[in-house]
Amino acid sequence: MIALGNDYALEAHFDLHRGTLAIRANIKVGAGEIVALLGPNGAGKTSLLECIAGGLAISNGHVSLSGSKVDDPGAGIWQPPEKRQIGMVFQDNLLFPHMNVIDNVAFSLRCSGHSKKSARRRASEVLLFLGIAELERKPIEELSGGQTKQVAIARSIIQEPSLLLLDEPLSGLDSIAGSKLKAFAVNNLKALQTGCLLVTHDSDFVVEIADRVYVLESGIVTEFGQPDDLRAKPNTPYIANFAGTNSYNGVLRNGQLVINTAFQLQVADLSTSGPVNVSINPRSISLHRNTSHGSPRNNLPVVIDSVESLGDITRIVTADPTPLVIDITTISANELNVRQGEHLWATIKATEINVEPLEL
Amino acid sequence: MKSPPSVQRLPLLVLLAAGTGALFLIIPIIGLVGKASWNSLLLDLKNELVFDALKISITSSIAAALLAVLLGTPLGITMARITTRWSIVLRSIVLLPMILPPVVGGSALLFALGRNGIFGKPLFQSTGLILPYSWAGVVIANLFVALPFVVLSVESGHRSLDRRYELASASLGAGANRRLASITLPLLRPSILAGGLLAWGRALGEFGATITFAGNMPGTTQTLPLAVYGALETDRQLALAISLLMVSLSLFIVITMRQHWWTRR
Amino acid sequence: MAASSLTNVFSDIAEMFEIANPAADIKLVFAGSGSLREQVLDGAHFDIIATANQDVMDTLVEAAEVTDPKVFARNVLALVSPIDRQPPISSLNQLRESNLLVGVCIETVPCGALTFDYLTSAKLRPNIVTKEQNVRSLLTKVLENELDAAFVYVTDARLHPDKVISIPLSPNYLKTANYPIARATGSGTNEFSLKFLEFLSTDNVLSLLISYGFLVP
Repeated sequence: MIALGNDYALEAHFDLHRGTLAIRANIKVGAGEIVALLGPNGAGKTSLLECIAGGLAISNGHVSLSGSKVDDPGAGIWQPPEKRQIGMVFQDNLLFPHMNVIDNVAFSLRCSGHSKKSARRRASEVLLFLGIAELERKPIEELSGGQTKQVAIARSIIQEPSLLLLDEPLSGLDSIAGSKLKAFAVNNLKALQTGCLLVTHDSDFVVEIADRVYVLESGIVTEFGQPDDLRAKPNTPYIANFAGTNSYNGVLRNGQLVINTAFQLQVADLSTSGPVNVSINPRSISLHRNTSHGSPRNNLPVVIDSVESLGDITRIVTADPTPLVIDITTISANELNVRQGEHLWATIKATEINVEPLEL
Repeated sequence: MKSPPSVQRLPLLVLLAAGTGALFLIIPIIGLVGKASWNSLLLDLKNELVFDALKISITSSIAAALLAVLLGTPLGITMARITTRWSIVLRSIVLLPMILPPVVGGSALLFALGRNGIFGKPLFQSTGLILPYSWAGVVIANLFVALPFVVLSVESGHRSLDRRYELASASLGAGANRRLASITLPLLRPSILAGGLLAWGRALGEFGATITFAGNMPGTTQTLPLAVYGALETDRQLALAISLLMVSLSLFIVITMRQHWWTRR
Repeated sequence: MAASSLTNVFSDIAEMFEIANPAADIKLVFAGSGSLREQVLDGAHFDIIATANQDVMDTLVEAAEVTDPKVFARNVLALVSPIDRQPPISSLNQLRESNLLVGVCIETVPCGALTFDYLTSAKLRPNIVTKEQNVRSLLTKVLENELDAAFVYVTDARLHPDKVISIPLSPNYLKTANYPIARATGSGTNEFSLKFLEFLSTDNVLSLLISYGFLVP
């Protein structure tokens, strides 16, 4: 939560007019706060991050970092990006290809005048802290997606900036690396009191770690409020679509749910009976080429209707009679290489199926 | 079992055209090799004229290539970054030596930097320095034709750099100088080297501008191409021998400067 | 086919011939004498060839490519200097100064051969800075005042009377260049070949040659 009385890590109230882009932004991030920025693709979220970082100039208004203005056209104030105390992790990481891991991480210290030796020593510590000390001497091209992301993060936090900007941080990460990232954000960033503004399409990610949520839609940034409400109380079509809840009506008897003859599921709730409203979190559904054996989970044969890439998440919609919205990591989607019209298997855990008795 | 056709397989028409192109380039070389008298080749080449020409060619072309890199790299980077209408003016200036016939280029150099030239005259009157008829004159002629290669190579290399490296390094605290030295230039290394190599090759083969500006003096300004031309009048065999020498030189450049040498970190 | 130094005069002569013989159509090809020799030996087609060099013509006679060569003109070596050179060069002795920029033709072309012949006989060693492939490029540099002096033909000096001055050369060592002309063997079918050769001895052509600066037999 916001620590009252201290400066905000970020306070931005500005307009950005650039080409066809026209955005009004109002964002606050407190020290140690994790704030998510959501919005449709092309809305300008990355441009917003660039304004805060100093890669783009705002049209009017101001951007303040830790209480001091860094961009204020009206007052003629402009601080170039190299003077702003922020860290930025790009969607495709942008590690310097001609340097190895340790030199990438040590780079910002070298820029502020440290000797090669002391910069590398400190970089070693950061890599150790993140648990990737073994990558020290590796050339960039040998790193996996998750490792690259970790190095990118190490590089940006080594000088302990008061604000960290993350652009679709889960891109290129599998679920294990994703969990590591979430843990890092929750544990380390908060411990360092680093404010964090992150852009993502992963609703789970937001619900799990964000303190507050902003939405950029139709050129305006509005504060949404509590992450949990994204699913429970979506207030715009975009949010509803973002959370992508699967909602159906069906009949439940003894743990057996019937939505239609082709669409039947086992649920964990054995107490409820009769007509129910069903909701399933798109992130709780997994997709496979072959039906999985072993645990008695719900394996539904499905036909793919559409595949949509949304940054760090890929959204797959299946056709009737089993219409489902499934959100999987982009890495898993690439591995599956799923196309429209293909037949696959969707697996849903009984415990992830929420039922509410329908009031008739 | 037959392996499946590779995805890279080209249509037959393209392959035929490519083959014709390659053949067209190889045929003159075959002509050279065919008409040479191989038994006396080494003997033909073992004379002072050839040694002098070889020395002048190698030293002046390398000097010109180095200067081309030194001057061309900043110019290429600048051209890649400016967005105003001046870029069209700059581009025309840079392309000019490539379009002008080299003899015209040499004449232009003479009009500008000759002893009686617009800039050469005051230079001569104040310092007594005469640029034509000297090794420096050969380097100048070479530089004039070779510089555009570096500029264009660096410019196109810079344009294909991910612009966000600038912001990434700036966000880490790198000022403009550090960004240039630690990020831009290292990333441009392949383009700079490729451009430099092209410049060197072009300088080695330069004829028209050299003879028009620097003149033709064995031992001072007579490069290998000039020596070939001189030999063509009276000693075809020698001309052939020197031509083969130049072909081997080019092969040497190509073979030793293999691609992986400069694209690796 | 004709040697480069005949460019201007032969163009005029060809024009005069075509006026006198409207049915004739003359195509002129100019090149250095050595290059002409190579072209002929490689099989180039021609009816008449005029070289600036007796040796070249001899080679062609030996190769049975031409018959009955005759010298129709001679050229003399000249030393020229840019007219606006300060201070002007007026005597041969000044060539001994080492800071002068002197140009010559490369010894493998007739003009160059003549030049080096003269220099050896006169025991002169000027500061030669360039050996050009042909007289034209040499002349250009003189006209641009990029050379202090150059050894060319009298005919070349005459082309630009207002831009260059001629420095007298000692006549004892002066050699002349012979211009033999011949027709190709087996070109007897071309009636105009013989007519052209005869045309060269007519008064009009002879005075034209003299006006250009050639010596006539």
